[in-house]
Amino acid sequence: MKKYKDVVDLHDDHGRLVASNIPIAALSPLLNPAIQKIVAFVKQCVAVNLQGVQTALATGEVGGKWSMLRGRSTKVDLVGNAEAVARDLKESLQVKPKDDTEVKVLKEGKNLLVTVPAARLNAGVEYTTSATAVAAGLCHVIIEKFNVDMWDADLVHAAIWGRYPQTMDMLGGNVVSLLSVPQQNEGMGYALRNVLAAHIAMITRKNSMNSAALSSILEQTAHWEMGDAMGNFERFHLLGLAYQGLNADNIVYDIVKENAKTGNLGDCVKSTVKRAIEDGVIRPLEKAKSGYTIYTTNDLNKWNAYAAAGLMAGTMVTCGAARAMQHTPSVFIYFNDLLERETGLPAVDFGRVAGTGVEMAFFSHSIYGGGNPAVFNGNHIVTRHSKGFCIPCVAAAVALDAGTTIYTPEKLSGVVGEVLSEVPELREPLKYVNEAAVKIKGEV
Amino acid sequence: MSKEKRMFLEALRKKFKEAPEEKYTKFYIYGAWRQSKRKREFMEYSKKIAKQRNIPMYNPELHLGAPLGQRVLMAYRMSGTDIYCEADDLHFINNAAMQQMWHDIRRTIISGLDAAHTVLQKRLGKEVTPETVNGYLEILEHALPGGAVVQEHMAEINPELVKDCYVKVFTGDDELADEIDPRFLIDINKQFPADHAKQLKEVVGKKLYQVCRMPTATSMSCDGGTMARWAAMQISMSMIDAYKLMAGEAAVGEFAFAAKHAEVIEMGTLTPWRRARGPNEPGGIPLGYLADMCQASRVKPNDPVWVALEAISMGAVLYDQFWFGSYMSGGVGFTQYASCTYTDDILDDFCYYGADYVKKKYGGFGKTKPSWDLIKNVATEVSLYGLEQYEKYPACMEAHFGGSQRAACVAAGAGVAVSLATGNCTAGINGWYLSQLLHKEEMGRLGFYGYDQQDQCGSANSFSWRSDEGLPFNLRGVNYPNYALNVGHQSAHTGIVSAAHGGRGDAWTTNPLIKIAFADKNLVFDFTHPRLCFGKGALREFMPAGERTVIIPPH
Amino acid sequence: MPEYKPQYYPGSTLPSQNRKKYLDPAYKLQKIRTISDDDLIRIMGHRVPGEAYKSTHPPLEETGEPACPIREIVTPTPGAKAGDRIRYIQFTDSVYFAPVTPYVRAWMYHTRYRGVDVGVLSGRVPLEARERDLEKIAKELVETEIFDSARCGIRGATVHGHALRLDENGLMFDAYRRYLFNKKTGEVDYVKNQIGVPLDKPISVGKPIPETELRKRTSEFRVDGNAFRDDKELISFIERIHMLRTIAGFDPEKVKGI
Repeated sequence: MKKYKDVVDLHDDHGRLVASNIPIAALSPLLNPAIQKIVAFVKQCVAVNLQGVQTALATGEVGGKWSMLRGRSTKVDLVGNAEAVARDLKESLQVKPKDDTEVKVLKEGKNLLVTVPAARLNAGVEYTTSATAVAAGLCHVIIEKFNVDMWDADLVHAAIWGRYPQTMDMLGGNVVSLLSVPQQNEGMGYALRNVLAAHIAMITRKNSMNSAALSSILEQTAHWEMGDAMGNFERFHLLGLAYQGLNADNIVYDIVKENAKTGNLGDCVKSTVKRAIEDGVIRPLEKAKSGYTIYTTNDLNKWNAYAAAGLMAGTMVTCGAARAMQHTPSVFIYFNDLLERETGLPAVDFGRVAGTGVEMAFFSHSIYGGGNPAVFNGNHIVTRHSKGFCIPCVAAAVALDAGTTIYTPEKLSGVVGEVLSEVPELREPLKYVNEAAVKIKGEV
Repeated sequence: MSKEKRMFLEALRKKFKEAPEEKYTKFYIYGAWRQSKRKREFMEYSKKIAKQRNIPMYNPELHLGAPLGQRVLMAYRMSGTDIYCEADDLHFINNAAMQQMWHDIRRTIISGLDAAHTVLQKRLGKEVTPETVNGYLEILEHALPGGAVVQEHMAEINPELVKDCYVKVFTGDDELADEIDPRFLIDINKQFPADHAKQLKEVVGKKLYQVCRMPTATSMSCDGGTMARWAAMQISMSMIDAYKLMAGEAAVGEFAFAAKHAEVIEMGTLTPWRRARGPNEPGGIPLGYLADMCQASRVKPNDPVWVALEAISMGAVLYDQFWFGSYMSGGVGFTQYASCTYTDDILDDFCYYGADYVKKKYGGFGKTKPSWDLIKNVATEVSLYGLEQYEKYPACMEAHFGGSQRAACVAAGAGVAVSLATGNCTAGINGWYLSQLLHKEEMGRLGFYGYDQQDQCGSANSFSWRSDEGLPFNLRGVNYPNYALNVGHQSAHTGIVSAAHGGRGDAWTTNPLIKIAFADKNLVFDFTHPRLCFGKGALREFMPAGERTVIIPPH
Repeated sequence: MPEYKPQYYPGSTLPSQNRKKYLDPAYKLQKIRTISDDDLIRIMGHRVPGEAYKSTHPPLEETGEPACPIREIVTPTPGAKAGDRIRYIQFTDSVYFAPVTPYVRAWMYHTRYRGVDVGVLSGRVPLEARERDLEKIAKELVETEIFDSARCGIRGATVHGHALRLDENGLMFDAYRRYLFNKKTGEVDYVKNQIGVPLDKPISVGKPIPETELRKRTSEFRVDGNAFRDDKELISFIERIHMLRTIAGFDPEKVKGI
């Protein structure tokens, strides 16, 4: 990786200084151990709805909504024996004793949080390994432990795997990964982008700053996976992650604080421009006939990062004031429109955030598809167009919503968000990423 | 009366009582939907149907606040023709010509014969000569529409239902072409102007390709993914018959592989999960392929603007009306987002203005490399011209009552002009993007809610080389990520590709085999004059294929 | 370094200068009519005057909020605090010298108001906000110079008309005839609410602004008014944005000092 001169001050989610002058590379997904752990957890962690499996087995309602197989039923008390099930499942999954396999019982036996050992994922190339290993492991445990006979083996399969393999995903199943099956990814490198904003908000328990951070980590890491963070674009994505997602130099928090009580989106634009001028990122180039000043920059990547931070702040102020997520696309379009007309410089992601906002406004306010912001993600055809700078803002906004939608984040996320919020690194990513950056600052 | 010459003035005078420059008119006095012959016809049908089936149907009185038709319901002129029709006649469900264009595209598969011949000669020691090729083709003419060969006691398809199904071949080798039965040949020399024929024969060389047209009936009952499979089945059976092979020896597996995979050129490729369709569906057809399917370049090779306009009409129907208006949405659809590009000669006027401007400023087409000076100059001037026509002629503004329509036409003029000037359609689309940004600023409005998503992303993605951003414009289509969502673009985009290569005098824009494959007079749709054909469809004067008359009761 | 002063909008001609003015929250929009609060509520049609606001969730004080540093500092609007539904008002602006255009509305809504969700189409501009916040904002949108009773419409559906010629009274077309020209008073009366439901009695929104005056106030470029072609500064501005976006998409490092 290239050596970058940039250094940033790290701040926590409340805007408190954590460490100064940290090299930007310490925040790179290629180097930061906490980011790598977060990505690993995303692959390794799976949520199991044990109550769901039990009910499916008892009722024969398997393989998707309204699929009801009369005469098929087997009663097993999985929830009551959750600890034993968890022990046996761990044993099935473990590669070596005392490896990183974990099966945690939650909600009095109704849910399990399973961490599949890294050794299993490293033995192959697929990331679906966690879901398949847990699903298969659970089938094995249930059949063995509860003496389910051969004639009901197919029912056990469906209660866990859903309608797979008739469907490509586990339709109606009870083992859920944060990641979707590869067939559902739009293109190469899109796996980490295919995470609903609803999941992010639920995993971080609706802490808006951590939602922004977790989403930005996944989105931006994906851009390394896609090959987009290459050449001069690597710094583009590094700075974007740092400033927009990880509150570098406290720009996001500062701009929010400045405008928290009475400010609006337009004020956030002005705060962004002011900060960029003060920090020497942009400067006047020339004056037009009307007296309008055209600005320029010697560092467009850094300008983009500042603009992206301002966009995040603008989202938080607008959606925070309304305590509503639906305003997000309006923010995406008009923050950028106003920023360009204020400076004469291209706005966030060089027009791609504005474009994504246009599409998302349409698809969250009309008959043509989409839904409320919580259903969107970086893999969604509506919102994939910005290269990592929109969805973190969507996630932050979803976290701020007070309950204005029917398809709430809780409903959309279901078991996944609730269970994965038990993983500290996923729930409070900013803290762990900052700590890790400080640890490795001397080595990058 | 305007003293200025504009191509659209005649149509506007037919659409409205007042002069095109008049700013005032009357509303609310037209009897709503009753002013339209078509809608009165719809109501009559609807009343009968509701009675027959005892379920109500079409009823324009159900509108939220007042039935439609509070303003003049405009007649539309098919651009480049004297045909006038109503908007309803341009809905693809109401227009048999539009449907046939799509069927003719979907049911086409091109596959190379040389690999199969190599299997025969090298693996099986069989002789392949022009005579045996003709023999094979005659068998395939029987088999492809569903006639059995080799197998006993088979259920076959009634030829009357599938009479539009056949195979033809082409080659760049004049000697070989001379020996092929002329009934089975697409003769490059006869179909193309001399210079285009030379280019095409040079690139195809001695290779031999077959173009299979599966029945329209199959296209209506099955899907695009069927076509290569159908062709492969019957190609393989015909090979077995023609060359006396064991029906199902190992070598036959190689025919199947060749026919279904290795040697196949599909019209369209797969689309991903969220909008999943198989091959040979509109979602997978690149712009350049559609531009090549348009055969207007054989008729007026020296008028690349006219050719582009014809290609635009095909793009409008296929991508905007079929794909976005139905596959991706449906119901009432997107007719008028598309028809604005091929009616009333409005876009024609903008494009010819742009062409004249380019000729004057740059001395002709395809002569100047892309540069910021050129893109700014040409795209800005043509955009300003387009915008000014809407403002100078209120009737023109009213004809294109939706911002998306105006955005498409203004930017199409700009994009086509840049394409003509540079011979580079990626530069052309960059000109389109500049036009959209100028339009948004000029009018302070642009299109529908999501219209300009791709136009905001487009500047940065024009010359990007990154993963899912970079791609020459010819190869983009409605599965290019930015383009996957919005109507009102791909029509013009087809023309932007066409114009770049037409201006250069190229015989094709992207795929020479597709260009040749559609130079076929037996096709039901007239790819040399798409707009005229659509017009005939509007007038109910177009006879499609696939009619089931012979298997249904008289009615 | 000179102190940063917000500039809002480039351009040297009248429409540009008007856009700049409307975008600048320091510029007080000129009030040119009075519509009573109750009449505005009637036109908007979301509740009957005097009726309590419906909620989409309980007041924030009742439910409490998740632990979040942003919630701790960002003050919710009154409507958000109370849990109001999010409702809308939607405008259509004619292409014939209306005071503001759709994008100008969106830009100015965001520079002047808090917690607004505004979208733009060529023929309509929906504004959604918490209901009591919306009513406050709507008052300014309807009572001031940015609304002309003939060339602007308050319409929730079937918005067709922005690009049509004007009727014999100079009014923009409305398929639902929500408003009529009152020949006696010379004023425009709303006889239906924004979604087309008839009102109990007409509500006047005042006389149309004469076109000579509209031409001074408009943010619309027109070839028969102030032509866009004459605003070389604005054209050059847009060309610049496009060019910089394009080059940046190829290589951001190539945009330096330009």
